[in-house]
Amino acid sequence: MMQKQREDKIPSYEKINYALRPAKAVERKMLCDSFLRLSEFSHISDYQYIGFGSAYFSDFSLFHKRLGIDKMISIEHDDDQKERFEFNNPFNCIDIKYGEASKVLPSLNWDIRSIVWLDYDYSLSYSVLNDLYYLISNIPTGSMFLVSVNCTSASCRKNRVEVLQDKLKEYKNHIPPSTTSDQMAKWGTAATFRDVINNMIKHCIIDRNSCRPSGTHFLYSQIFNFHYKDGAPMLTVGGVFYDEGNKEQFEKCCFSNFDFYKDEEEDFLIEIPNLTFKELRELDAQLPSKELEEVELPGVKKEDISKYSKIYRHFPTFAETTF
Amino acid sequence: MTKSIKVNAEPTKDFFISMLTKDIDLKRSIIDLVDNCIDGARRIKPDSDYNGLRVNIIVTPDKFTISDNCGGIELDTATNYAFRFGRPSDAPSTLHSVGLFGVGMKRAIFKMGNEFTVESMAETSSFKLTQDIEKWKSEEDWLFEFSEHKEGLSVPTNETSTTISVESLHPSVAADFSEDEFCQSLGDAIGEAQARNLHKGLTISINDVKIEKIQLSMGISETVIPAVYNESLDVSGNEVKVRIMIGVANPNPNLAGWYIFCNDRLVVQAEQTDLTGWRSHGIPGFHNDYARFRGYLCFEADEPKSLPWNTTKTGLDWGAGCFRSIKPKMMNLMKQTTDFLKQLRREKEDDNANETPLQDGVDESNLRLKDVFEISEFKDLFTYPVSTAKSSRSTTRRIQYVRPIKEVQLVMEALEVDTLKEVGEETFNYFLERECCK
Repeated sequence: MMQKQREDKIPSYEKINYALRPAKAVERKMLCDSFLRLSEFSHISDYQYIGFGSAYFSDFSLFHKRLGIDKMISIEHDDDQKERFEFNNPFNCIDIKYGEASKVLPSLNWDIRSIVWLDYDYSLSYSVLNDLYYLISNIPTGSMFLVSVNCTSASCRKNRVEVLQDKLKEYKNHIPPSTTSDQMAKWGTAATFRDVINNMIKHCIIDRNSCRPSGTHFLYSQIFNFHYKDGAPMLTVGGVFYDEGNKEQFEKCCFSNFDFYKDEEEDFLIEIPNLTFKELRELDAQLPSKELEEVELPGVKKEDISKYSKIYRHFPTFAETTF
Repeated sequence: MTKSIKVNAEPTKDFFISMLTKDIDLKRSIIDLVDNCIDGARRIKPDSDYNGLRVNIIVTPDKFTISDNCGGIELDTATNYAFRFGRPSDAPSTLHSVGLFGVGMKRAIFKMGNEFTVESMAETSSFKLTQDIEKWKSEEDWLFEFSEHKEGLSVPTNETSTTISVESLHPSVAADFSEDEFCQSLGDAIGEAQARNLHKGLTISINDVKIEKIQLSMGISETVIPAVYNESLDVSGNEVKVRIMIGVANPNPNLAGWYIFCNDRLVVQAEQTDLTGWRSHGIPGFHNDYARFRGYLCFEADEPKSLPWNTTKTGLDWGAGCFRSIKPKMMNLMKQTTDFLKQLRREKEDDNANETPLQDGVDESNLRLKDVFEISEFKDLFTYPVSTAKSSRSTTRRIQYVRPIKEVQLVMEALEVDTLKEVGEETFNYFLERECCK
């Protein structure tokens, strides 16, 4: 699911088993729910899914099984380990393309409505924004795309903005001018990253629109602004790309019905309370509930109940099994 | 009631002439005159076969003359439009024309000298107009006068002609015109700017020397195939057709880069800066590894005002909507091509490679060079073979540092080695073994 960073850091797929990251698992299921709504544009199984499958392909498995998507492309930067990725490819319908995303993205077939998840395990960087540039300059109307980045704030408290400017090179002007180093503390880095990504998207769309007749202009509506933390703080931001002619279909998708719908700066924080199986079952029996105050469980903090109630439908359960 | 007082804001002719001629160089202004001939050619040969059409330029220290057999100027056009400064909005337009702002001919004349004659033989009329510019400047009104004119003629198209000559040349212009070097470089500049039109059969000569066609080349082999992309843009209600052709040719750092045409006129050539995407969006800055790169971007419009060129046709209005909207597509194709060239270099550097599919694809014996406008084998994406070279990512890093000679010699002796390379490697290993290994 993650793309390996250029510099030879140890890739996160070698450090952690993705399947066991609960917040990510919740996010994945929420995304899956929302993808289904795209059927207002086209039947969901007609979409192609493009992601970074890594060696685990968790997202590919879920989206193939749940949505029936069978045009799937996994972009894999690490071509040293081709054999391993091919071996782990769980389905016959996943085509693994090797190379940097910025090189692979322009070479794909973009005549098909697409769901694209650029799921990085590293921070917002020049190369992430390059990938985004090539994505947005190609993606067709009625498509959905997401970007996930690590949002660990830079330790240098005084000059986080300068550090980010240096990293983003030619894209540095997408950092809102009012951003201060202090604002980038904690989740503030994620907020700044969302601003940069959002500005980048807007900029690319203005370019694409500059010679399109009115009535056919491309639009982007943000749907997701997830914050979560299985280890490092992560941001997932994304939405739907469509043109003015598809406005009605977009509205019919009713994305705003989702609890996790966030179309602006405000984020949806996925927090995983530590609860036992018995507690989960007991809470499930009381959910959904219009009056959260009334949901009770002896010894369990109100705060954890509230966290759980936001994500209970998507809550993952892990169990040890012997194969 | 206050009596209204009108303020005089009329331009002076002197100011007008100096502004008009300030920002264009002599050669460019002469190319503008050639552009007018080409607009004539377009009118009489809508099929773009210019064989038989000629533009003759004679350059001497006393006189400049340009003559063509491209249709002439009808009396009505001359009376109402051709000599106006700026194109009147009701002027009949030549579709796809390169004459755009209605300044080219006047600007070129003013740039060169003080006396000019325009003689034309069109299909139904003819005229001759001679004017002393100094005299004209001293007059109140903005009129020129025909010295002869005829109407109601019936001239075969192939006997039509236009001749513009300029005399009492400005001293600096006369000096330029006396040099062979000037005529040579004027020829080169015309050959490049009008490359497309020369290919369509037009003959252009300077002092009776024919300007040779330059080849805008693109290579094709079994495995390396250039790409084409077509799009139709809407610029304020006018259609602008865009075509991108991208690929590789023989390595030549002076010819590599982007070439941009507006209605067949080359306005940008071998562009290698961030204006055309180098050093941006993950594409590296231009260097010799990319000496094979060739990109051609062609804009075509019936209405030349919709095209993104500047008034001197020496470059693009880089902020123009139609360039901005096509640039992402340019970058997409450019990314593929530069990536191939990067891999080609790696393949060369990989000493262990038994096979060299990339080099084979561009090898002189395999790569057929053609004129880019004569290629029909394009694909949607730039196509090249898969590299068999070892991993693109190097697993080693080079370390470099500077230390005083005395200290280096001490270390050298202690290590019992003879080269600086060994000093670096041995000291590194020493530290690695003692401090980093478990």
